[in-house]
Amino acid sequence: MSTARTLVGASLDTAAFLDRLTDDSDFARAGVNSGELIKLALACEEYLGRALDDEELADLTSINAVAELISAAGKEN
Amino acid sequence: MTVELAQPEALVHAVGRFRTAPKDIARYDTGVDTAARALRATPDQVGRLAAAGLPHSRDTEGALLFDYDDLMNVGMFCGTGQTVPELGLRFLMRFAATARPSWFEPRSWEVGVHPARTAAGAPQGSAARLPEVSVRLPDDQAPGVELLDGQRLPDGPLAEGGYEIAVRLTGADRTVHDPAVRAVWDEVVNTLAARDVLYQTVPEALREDHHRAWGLGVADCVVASRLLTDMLLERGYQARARRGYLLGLFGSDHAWCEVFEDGVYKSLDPVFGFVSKLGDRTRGVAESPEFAEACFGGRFNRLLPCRTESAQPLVYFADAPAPYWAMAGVGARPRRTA
Repeated sequence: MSTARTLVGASLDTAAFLDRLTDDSDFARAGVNSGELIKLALACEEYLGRALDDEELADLTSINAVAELISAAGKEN
Repeated sequence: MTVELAQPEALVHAVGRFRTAPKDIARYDTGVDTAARALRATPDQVGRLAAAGLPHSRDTEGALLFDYDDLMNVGMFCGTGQTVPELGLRFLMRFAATARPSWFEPRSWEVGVHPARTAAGAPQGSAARLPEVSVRLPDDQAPGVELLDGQRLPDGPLAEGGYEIAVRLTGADRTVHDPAVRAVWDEVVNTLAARDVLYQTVPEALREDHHRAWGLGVADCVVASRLLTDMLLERGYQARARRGYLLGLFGSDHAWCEVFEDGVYKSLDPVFGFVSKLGDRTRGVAESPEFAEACFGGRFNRLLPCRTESAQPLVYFADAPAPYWAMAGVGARPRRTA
């Protein structure tokens, strides 16, 4: 499983919900709630070892977007 | 990755630091597991709150039930900086630390308001099927709000189900000149800053009686904005309390006030003003006097107003303000164009 998918899965209230998310599923449209997005943002910050800026936070909209963030930071996805 | 807080007593530190929901308003319908998920804590940590004095009841099997708003305040006041409410404030206020022009320049967003994916958090006995949720529509006639792609919204304040829009929000870098308005603003912001009235989560039912809330010593954005509006109206100013979404990591319910001056409505955001005036190190919010001052008249490019002039709720369930478990999810993303 990719790092991005792992980070998203660990942030969901219900782990099984991850199976319903494709890599390009829009989180909001799929029903990912605000608490889960907050946990995901924190998970990304912890993984990257730095605070996300305002633009990066707003761009956390799909598993692919998380993967792009990780790749842009030079980390392995 | 672990998400639980380190100290077993971490949440207990919040008890006594905020005011719990009045008995006639509190709804003890949130179980321990739901609370633990909502706070990013363990069930054991939540369970300790009852012994520490947080009001609660028990279901027919003896399991603990808490008021959801009390739990959100536990998250905000426990001082760990790691609960979901604390982190939410940190992430949503991060834009205040960006360069001043970025607060106002035109910015396009894709916004989706969707019914909750599950009613799993619903109290026992609630219908298993999702309720029909009505949501307040964006105020596409408000200054600075422009729907893109030729979209049109239905008439009326509410729509069933949800919606998706692309919208350009243009802020306005301005201030209010009337010193009497400044005096009223200072009174509200300074009362919050002095902690004479606590900024905390307020149940929607108590928001409805914002003077009672203020008298009880509690306020959130809705209470503070409605109170500020009333104070301005009493002094003869044309003012209104607005409510909509703060766009960013997600769309967050937010309220502010507007006062009419120089032929336009100018925004007054007492909660943003208060939070950025003081900063909040524990919750990771930077102090920003410049941003605090911009909250006195400036309109930000990530506040999407909805169709209400008295800061009414944004989501309804069966004609009543929606309980937390029936809330709609609000997604926001910057629109990228080729």
